[in-house]
Amino acid sequence: MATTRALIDGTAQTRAFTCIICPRGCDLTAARIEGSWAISGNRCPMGRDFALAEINNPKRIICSTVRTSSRTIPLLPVKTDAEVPLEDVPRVMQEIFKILVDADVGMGDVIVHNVAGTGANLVASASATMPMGVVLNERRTDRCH
Amino acid sequence: MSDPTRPVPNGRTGAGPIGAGQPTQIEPVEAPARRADAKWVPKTLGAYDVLVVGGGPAGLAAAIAAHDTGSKVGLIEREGRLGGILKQCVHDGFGTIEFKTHLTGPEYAERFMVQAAGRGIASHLNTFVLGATRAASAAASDSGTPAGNARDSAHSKDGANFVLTVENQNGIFNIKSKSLVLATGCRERTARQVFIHGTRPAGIYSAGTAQYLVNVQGYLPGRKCVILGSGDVGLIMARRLTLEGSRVVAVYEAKPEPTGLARNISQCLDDYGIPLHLSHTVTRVFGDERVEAVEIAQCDKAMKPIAGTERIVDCDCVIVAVGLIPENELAEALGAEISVATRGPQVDQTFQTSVPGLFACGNCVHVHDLVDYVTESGRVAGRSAAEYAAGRRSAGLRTPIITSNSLLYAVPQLFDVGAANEPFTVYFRSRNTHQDVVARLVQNGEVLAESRCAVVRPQQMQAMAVGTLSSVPNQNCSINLDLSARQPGSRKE
Repeated sequence: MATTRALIDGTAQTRAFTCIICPRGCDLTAARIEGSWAISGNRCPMGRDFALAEINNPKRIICSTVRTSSRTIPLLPVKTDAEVPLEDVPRVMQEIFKILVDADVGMGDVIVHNVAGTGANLVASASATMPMGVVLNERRTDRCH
Repeated sequence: MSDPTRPVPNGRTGAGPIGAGQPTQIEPVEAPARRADAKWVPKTLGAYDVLVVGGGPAGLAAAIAAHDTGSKVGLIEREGRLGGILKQCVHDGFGTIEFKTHLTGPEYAERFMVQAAGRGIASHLNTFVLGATRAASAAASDSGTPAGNARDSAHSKDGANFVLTVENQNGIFNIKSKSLVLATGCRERTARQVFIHGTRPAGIYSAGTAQYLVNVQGYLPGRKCVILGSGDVGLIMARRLTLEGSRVVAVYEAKPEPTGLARNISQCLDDYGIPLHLSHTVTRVFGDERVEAVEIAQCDKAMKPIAGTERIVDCDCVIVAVGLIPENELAEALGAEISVATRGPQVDQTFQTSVPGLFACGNCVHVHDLVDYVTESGRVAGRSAAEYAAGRRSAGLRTPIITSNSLLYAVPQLFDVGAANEPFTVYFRSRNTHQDVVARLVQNGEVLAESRCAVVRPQQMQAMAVGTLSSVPNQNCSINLDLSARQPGSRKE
């Protein structure tokens, strides 16, 4: 109620966000009433948590790639296994640029613990050698002249 | 080159420059035998109940579902690895519906690759489909079958209804199957297709190509990029290029509304301070060897550039993210009816096309914005194809589903009355943004199914899960799908 009144009076400090938790992309509104934030527009509790995090300390998962020693798969996709503060993204990227991994890394393997001091680990988000099952025509490089 | 089949007249030099003037003795060339009955037939590489073309998310889901329904399944993939476009989609946000968690593209693909590998599904990698034909016996049996007859006798003697001619490093082969699932994905619309004029310097890439260069090959396509089009791939690339050290000057969108998902505008552009200019487009490209600048103009409501609003923006790279088009060479070759609205084959709720035994799923049917729905369509197509191959499903009587003007399109376009008791999903895109609407499937004024939507947007495909229909649809009457405002006091909440 206090929220509504403050909004009508124009005394509320409001901020708007687009929720990135799921593909619905709810339009969130945060209104500051007497020191606390009231969130509206969310269709689930995760939207409220997202808006509060955006106000206090926006965080993101970082997805990128690292170089490998493999000739056939020059890059391996990686991600942070936890959200890191948005402001730390450039520092984490600087770390990622320096990495070179071997081609035997599997999906989920930790590549860097506590990357750039963020507390999150950098993990492989794919296996360098992906499961293929019964392959009927794998290119045999040893037979290429 | 002269036609080698035509005999060369003896003793004439013709226009030959060598030895002109001397009567050269040339033996008459025997025309090679070109009799239709002596046609070379490639060796058969395999015969399957269900053959899936494309090893991306749709194809993987189809192959797994067909295997689990008891079919012998083959999968054809032109690249050396499975996973399709997901291999290069290293960003996260995949699998929120399928796995209730956030995965990157490669992670999402690998989960299905593990499932396919565990089932021993045969994958023909590095194999390209050159052509597809439907066995004459299969085609003859549909014309011999009265339309009202649900009995299906489309299986030829060896059971193969489809023959695919494929090429791999060992040569050209045939692969046979009883039913065929197309999971060939989509292609990007190019700069030329949106009429960008000017020179043709290096540095103009489609967003998917740029994504392949950055995420798979490890090359940066440019240091100062302009992105045309606000499709999701373009937005994702704006962030990716920024992270990799490129400067993204701006994203320009000719339409008055962004075409990508709102969450991607927020997390890809707003997070990195990349401006989005709506109703603006690239009208010319400058540069000889390399892009040096582009001309930007403001657009009117019809997306036409407004004269006098042009300005020059310096850049060394133009990323074109102006939409995707379903890839349907095979569907067309096999004679499947193509929808004008989706540019993919028309399908029924079991994802069977207008050609009996030919199924299609994923982005070759219509362009999805979420991979989770691609997987779901693949699963249904794979299961249906397996049932068709086993003779448990027929190309039955189908009635069209007609969409009202409030929708851009809906899939399926056909309703198989024989499968009316199976739950299915209707996927649609609205023409405009609306809040609190109801989508209804109606036949003869009777509501067969309805679903409430809190928000519908053209950018966001809606999936309307239809459980049991309130009545069995009439096979002789079309079904209508429309969108209407929810009536106040409606009991459905």
